[in-house]
Amino acid sequence: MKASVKVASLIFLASSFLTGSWTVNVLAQTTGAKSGTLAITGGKLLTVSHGTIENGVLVIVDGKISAVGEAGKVAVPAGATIVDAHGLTVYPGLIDPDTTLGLTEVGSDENSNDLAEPSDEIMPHMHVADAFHAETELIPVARLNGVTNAVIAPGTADSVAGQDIFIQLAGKNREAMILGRDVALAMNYGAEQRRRGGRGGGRGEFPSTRMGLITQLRQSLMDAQHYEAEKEAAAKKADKADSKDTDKAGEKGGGKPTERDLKLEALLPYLHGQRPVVVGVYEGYDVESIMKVAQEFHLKVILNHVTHTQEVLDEIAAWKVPVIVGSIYDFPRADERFDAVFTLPAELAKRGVKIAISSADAGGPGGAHGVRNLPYAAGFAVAYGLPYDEALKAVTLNVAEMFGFGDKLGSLDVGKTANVVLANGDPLDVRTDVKQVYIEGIAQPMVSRQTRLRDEYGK
Amino acid sequence: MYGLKPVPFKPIHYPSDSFVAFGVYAVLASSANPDSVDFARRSAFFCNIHLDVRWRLFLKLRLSLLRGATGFAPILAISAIAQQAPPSDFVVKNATVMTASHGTIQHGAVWVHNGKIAGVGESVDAPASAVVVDATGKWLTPGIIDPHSHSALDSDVNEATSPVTPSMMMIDAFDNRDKALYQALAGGVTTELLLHGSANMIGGQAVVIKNKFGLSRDAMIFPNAPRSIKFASGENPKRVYGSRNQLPSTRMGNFEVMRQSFENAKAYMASWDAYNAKVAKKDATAVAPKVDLKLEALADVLRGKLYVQIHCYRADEFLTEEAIAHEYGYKIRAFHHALEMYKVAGQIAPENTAIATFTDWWGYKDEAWDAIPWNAVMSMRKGVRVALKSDSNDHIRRLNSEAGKMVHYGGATEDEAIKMVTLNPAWIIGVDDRVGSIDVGKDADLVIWNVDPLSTYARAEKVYIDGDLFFDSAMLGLGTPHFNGAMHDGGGFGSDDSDGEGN
Repeated sequence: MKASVKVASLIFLASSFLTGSWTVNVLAQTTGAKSGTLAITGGKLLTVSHGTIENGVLVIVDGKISAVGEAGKVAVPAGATIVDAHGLTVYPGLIDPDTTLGLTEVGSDENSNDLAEPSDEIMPHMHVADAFHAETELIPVARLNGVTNAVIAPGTADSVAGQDIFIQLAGKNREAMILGRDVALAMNYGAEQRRRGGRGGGRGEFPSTRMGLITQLRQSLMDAQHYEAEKEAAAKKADKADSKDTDKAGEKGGGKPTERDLKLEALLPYLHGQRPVVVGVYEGYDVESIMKVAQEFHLKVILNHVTHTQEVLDEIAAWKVPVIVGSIYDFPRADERFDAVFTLPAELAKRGVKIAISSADAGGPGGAHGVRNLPYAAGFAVAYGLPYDEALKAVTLNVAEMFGFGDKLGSLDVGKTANVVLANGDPLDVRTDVKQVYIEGIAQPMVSRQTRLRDEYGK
Repeated sequence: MYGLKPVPFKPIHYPSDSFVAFGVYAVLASSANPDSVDFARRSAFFCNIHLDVRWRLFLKLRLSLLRGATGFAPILAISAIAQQAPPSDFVVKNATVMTASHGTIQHGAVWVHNGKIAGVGESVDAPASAVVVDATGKWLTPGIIDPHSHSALDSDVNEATSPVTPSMMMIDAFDNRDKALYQALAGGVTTELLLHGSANMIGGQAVVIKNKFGLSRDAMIFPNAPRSIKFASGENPKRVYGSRNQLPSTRMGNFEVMRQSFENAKAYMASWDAYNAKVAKKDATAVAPKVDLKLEALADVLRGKLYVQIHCYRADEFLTEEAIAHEYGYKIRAFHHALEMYKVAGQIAPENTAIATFTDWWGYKDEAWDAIPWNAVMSMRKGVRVALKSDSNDHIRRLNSEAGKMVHYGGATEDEAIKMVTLNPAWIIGVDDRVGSIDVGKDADLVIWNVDPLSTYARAEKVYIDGDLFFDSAMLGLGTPHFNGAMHDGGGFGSDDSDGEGN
């Protein structure tokens, strides 16, 4: 195809300009590189925010979208590099709302995994940013299928597992790839977290039941509130440091400064509702239990998984909380209809719930290796009743909005970061081939460790 | 909406309370009145059961309030149970027929006579009495065949107490009411090879089933299918036994365990040959050796009576396995997983060993680190017969769209892709003369899809096995004309290792 030949040569150009050797190419670059001015013309634009433009023009200037519209109605700046996208579909880079990309390499190799810290159930001070491995071979693999951003969350072993990062799947190093540190608090509630005492192999330690988990969580949140109150009180005293006041201990001024407790401190932004907590929960009755706690502490909740919540969907809608569905491939229970989980995104969307769809386990064991299947999980939701436009939103704009990047990512709109994908067909169809991925307007090398193996043995 | 428009999904609307009453009335009426077929059909129509196959179904609507595992809101399930045989003749018309053996026929027709395919083409010579199924706008394929499943075996996948357990018979663990079978059926899967796990270098003997969910255990066994035995290699055996400080804990140990086993089998065969020779000479001193089930099974491998199915990932191990097979004189039917086949496909193709591989699984263990999603198509282009398989209760439900990925990864044609989940797995199991394609004389195992089955948007609408309807997505409740009981939950992921750690 004519268009793809042009795209291919552009990839070649981009690769040769950026680096000298292909091993470095795989670490796609944005930092230091300038996209210049680019006009992607003739493609079918799926804007996500304002419909489909059959014959569209997208202009990118210095990494941002500067114009988008129908051919003939959008001026192509003089000197712009023209990318002929006739026959191709152009859409915003996909965003995975829940993955462990960068926290794992080889599933069975413990040394390459930094998923969760299981020594305690309450671990809000674990920062995914500290473990994120920017050079993972998994990132180029995911990027090749049009995934340009992701929320990286810790594993699910803990009630409070740590704080997520929001990344871009390109950049020289970790600093360039992490767009947001501690963007959300990862929480979990259900059978899995009561591991200590839990059935089978438990060590007889607290908490061994759901009652224990909830008590422990509530106590921790209250401890954090108390900690904050103490800190504020100490700060007030410190303000009076020059006064002649003497405290009970006989010390003058503000007394001893409160020792910082990083664990409790980590909970404070979430207790203030400044950032969302993502609550992973599978069962309907577990959703009801954990929401009681969340409401008590005014947490800003995003629900995650909600696999077996068919009986509380109306309640979820009434709470007006966004929901991440994943894995859509989770099994229904025995005697449930085969599509009880497949229809979940459609049923939620029908009730007005804002949904995102994650890649979770879409590619076999080990989650993060299947991020490239994110678009197909969204497409599968379409097969089971979710309107197409909602499905596309669920892996782009909705995710960006849930995590505070709605003004920067998730749609083809002027002013947004130029994370743009060109494919030879419907992005959600398994048969479609992604031809080119742009991140911040830079054409990413369409190579991964896997394409290198393919090319080496395909000779 | 994107250009490729999936046929709109029509969710099943569970009946309101008033309809429940109506349904109960239908049951009463049908049991009281022999003419109630029409009444039942009307009531079925009323609740959106789409009887476009107008068989003389004697419908008995069975209402049951089924509770979820947690005891929450009861879910109403209605099973309509067909009590009569399917029609002797029916024709699926106006479908896009993907035959898997001789291309795709636009606006094609398939005539089924007494459970066998009697005609296929743009038109067929069916008798006027044949029931017509109008499949305008829909796709028709052979039933999907999974050559690597551990469904319905509860947690009895691995007899991981010895690296050599060839007399284990998977039929002994087969639970025909496992929900995984139903969910696979709803994904269009009509035949499965249920294999022993991969803990042992020489595992147990497989069972081949037709997914006639709702029928008896015996009725689900694929009649006269060849026997298969599961071998394994690589990380799983060495991990399982190495962690106990037993042999094998290395790949050297793995293969030596195999060789010694075959040496033992040869000695066993020789002892029987000597005995039989004495008997032939009417030698009164002949004493029959002890029958050893384990060695008997290994002897059957050497006699070529068992299809050898080997769990194997790495390129070097394919070569070693073939060398051992040559040394002891048996054939390897297929390598399973086979994620590195693309590296040595040219050498394996002349052996006529097929592969049953994942589409795009990778990185879950060291021996899956070099996996690439182009493996299947690259190996096919080098002459290896390629099937896709699930090894998973999850992926078995969507092998059709997994096959669709082959269009993306390597540019398979749609005909090549559909063959990877129908005719080629049938060959691996050894039942390709009876199933796997839409050809005259083959079993009428057929699936009607809403759209192209290779797309993400495909849903199996009707699944026929031996010409009988076993799944109909338009039916209320579970959509299973032959099932009316409680399903079992075998749990787990349905993969090679019952602990879900490896594949």
